[in-house]
Amino acid sequence: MEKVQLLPGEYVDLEIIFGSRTYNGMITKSPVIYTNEHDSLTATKTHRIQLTANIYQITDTTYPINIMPRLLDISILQDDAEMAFKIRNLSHEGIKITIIDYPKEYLRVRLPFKINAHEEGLGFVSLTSLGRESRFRKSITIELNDRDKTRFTIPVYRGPNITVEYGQFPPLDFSPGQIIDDCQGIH
Amino acid sequence: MNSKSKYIVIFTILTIPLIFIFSCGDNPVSSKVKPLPSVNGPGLYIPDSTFDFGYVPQNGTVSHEYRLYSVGDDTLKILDIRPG
Repeated sequence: MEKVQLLPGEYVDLEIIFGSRTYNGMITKSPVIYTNEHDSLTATKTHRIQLTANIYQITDTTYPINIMPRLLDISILQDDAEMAFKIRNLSHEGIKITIIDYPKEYLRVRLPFKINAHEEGLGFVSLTSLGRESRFRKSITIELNDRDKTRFTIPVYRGPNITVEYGQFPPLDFSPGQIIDDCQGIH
Repeated sequence: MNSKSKYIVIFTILTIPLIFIFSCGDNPVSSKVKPLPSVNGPGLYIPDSTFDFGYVPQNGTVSHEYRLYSVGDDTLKILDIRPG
C-alpha cells in the first residue's frame, strides 16, 4: 500500500475487500492500520478495524430470506438494462428491507419496499455510467427489520464483456469468482 | 385576552412541539454527523470501525469502505495496513 498523508481535517476512504472462499459460519477479520501517531512507548500507533460475516454455502440455509442468485454476475449488463434477483420471505411476518451499503458510483439498486410472509419480491441492479465502463467486485449489503436486524451481503461482479465471434461457442462456465487476468479466450 | 393574543398563544403552543420534533427527530444530517475528537499531534479517528456483512455466500467477494479522519493538529501518515 502507498503511504497516505492526511492534513488535519482531511479524510480518506479505505476499502476492505473480503473473499469468502470456502469459509463456513461466522468469520471475523481485523485488519490493522499503522500510523505515525505518537505513543508513549513506540513511534507508531495501531488501530484495528473489524468486519464480521456469516458465510453460507447453500441458499436454503439462510433465514428469514433466501436470495437467488447468491452472487450477481453483471458482466453482460449494458446501458440502462437491469438484472433482477429474487428475495423470498420464509418467515411468518412481512419484512421491510433497508440498503446499508452499496457502491453508489457503480450501481443503482431497487428493492421492494415490503415482502409479505411466504411471498417473493424482486430486487434490481443496473449500472451507472462509470459502472458501465468498469470492471469490479463490489457488494450490496441489506438489513431486514426482523428482531435480529438480519443482514445479507450480495457480491456483485462485473468482468470483461463477452463477445462471441461467428463459429465460436460461448464459454460454458464463467464463474463469478474467476480472476479477470485468467479469462483466456474472453474478450 | 383579545382574539389576536389568543392566536399568538395558540400558534406558540403548536409551533414549539414542531420545532422540538424537527430538531430531535431522525434528521439524516444531524443524526449521522458525529463530533470529531481533537488531538494534539497527528490523530486518526474511525467513526465506524466495525462492519457486519451478515450472511455472505461462499466464493464471493464483498467490500466495505471505512472512512478515516485526520483529527490531530499535525499531518497524519498512514504507514501500513495489514490484514488481521
